Amino acid sequence: MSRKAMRSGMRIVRQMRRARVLALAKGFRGMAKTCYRISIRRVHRALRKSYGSRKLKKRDMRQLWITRIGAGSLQHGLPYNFFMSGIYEARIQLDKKIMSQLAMHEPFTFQGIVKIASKQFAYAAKQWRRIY
Amino acid sequence: MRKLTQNILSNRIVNFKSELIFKRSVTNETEFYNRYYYPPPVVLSHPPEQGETRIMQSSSITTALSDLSLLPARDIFAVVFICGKQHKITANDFLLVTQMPDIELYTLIQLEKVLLVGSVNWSLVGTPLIRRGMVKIIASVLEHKTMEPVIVLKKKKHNYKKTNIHRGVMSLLRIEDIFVEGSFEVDFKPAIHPQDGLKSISY
Repeated sequence: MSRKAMRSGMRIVRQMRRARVLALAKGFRGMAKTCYRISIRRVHRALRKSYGSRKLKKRDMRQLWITRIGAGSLQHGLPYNFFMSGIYEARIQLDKKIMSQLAMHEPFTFQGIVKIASKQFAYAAKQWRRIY
Repeated sequence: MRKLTQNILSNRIVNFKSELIFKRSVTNETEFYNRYYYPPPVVLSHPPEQGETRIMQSSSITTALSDLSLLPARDIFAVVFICGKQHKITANDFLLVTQMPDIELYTLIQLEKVLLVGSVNWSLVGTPLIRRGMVKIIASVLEHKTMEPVIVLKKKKHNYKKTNIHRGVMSLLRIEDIFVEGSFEVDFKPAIHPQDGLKSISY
């Protein structure tokens, strides 16, 4: 291959490698979306942050579900801790994602589940003589 | 308590009566269901409200399915256990689920692990599952597709960098119908009966 052809071939490969990085830099501020040498640093930072947030997302969603379930059960008379203990002892294995959806969109079913939990909790409380 | 929930999520059923965690020595599914006693599911009745509008959640759709029209959702919803996760579904609903490559395309499937069924006037709560013949949920498998790639980059100083592109495979199900059969009594008794001693439950 002649020197001229090699240089043009390598230029295309270089452009393609950089275009792949610049495609991830859409919406960045200033030259970080157009200039490769500036954007590569921002893109690496963004990818590292996304790796960590994928794990944080699960924790945050679970926290949100728990607050929603607690608010819903308190409307019907039971705080969250008594509600969950009643649920476990009544052998209901609905997870928190579903329970928060029921608390929001299916109020009658959620009211019934709270009744189950309160009955179960009252029964267990009599046995153990809990003071609450 | 954490071990209990892990076992529940990894597709194992816990019998609170005698054993806390059982070993899966039964291979036949009918034997499994007959051996472990499921207490009867709980039926709750609640009165309807006037002018009640039902907000039904629908799962995401990957491709534009112009052939299948999006019909309005029906009255019955169910909570179903698929591939380690629970989903709340109604009829004419699309569901994205981790890959099931063994199942051929365009076949009908019956979803058997049902945790809850509900409607306007009543709901059926399983403890923990509803018995096998009571509810029929029929779904059809439409697609097995790879998802959008996720770039996993691990980088540190001094020339350490790893990149990995993760393309998960998921299958698209469409739920056709939910049928509920059988007659139920409206009652709830607490799970801890006076016959069982409280010593059998150990958290």
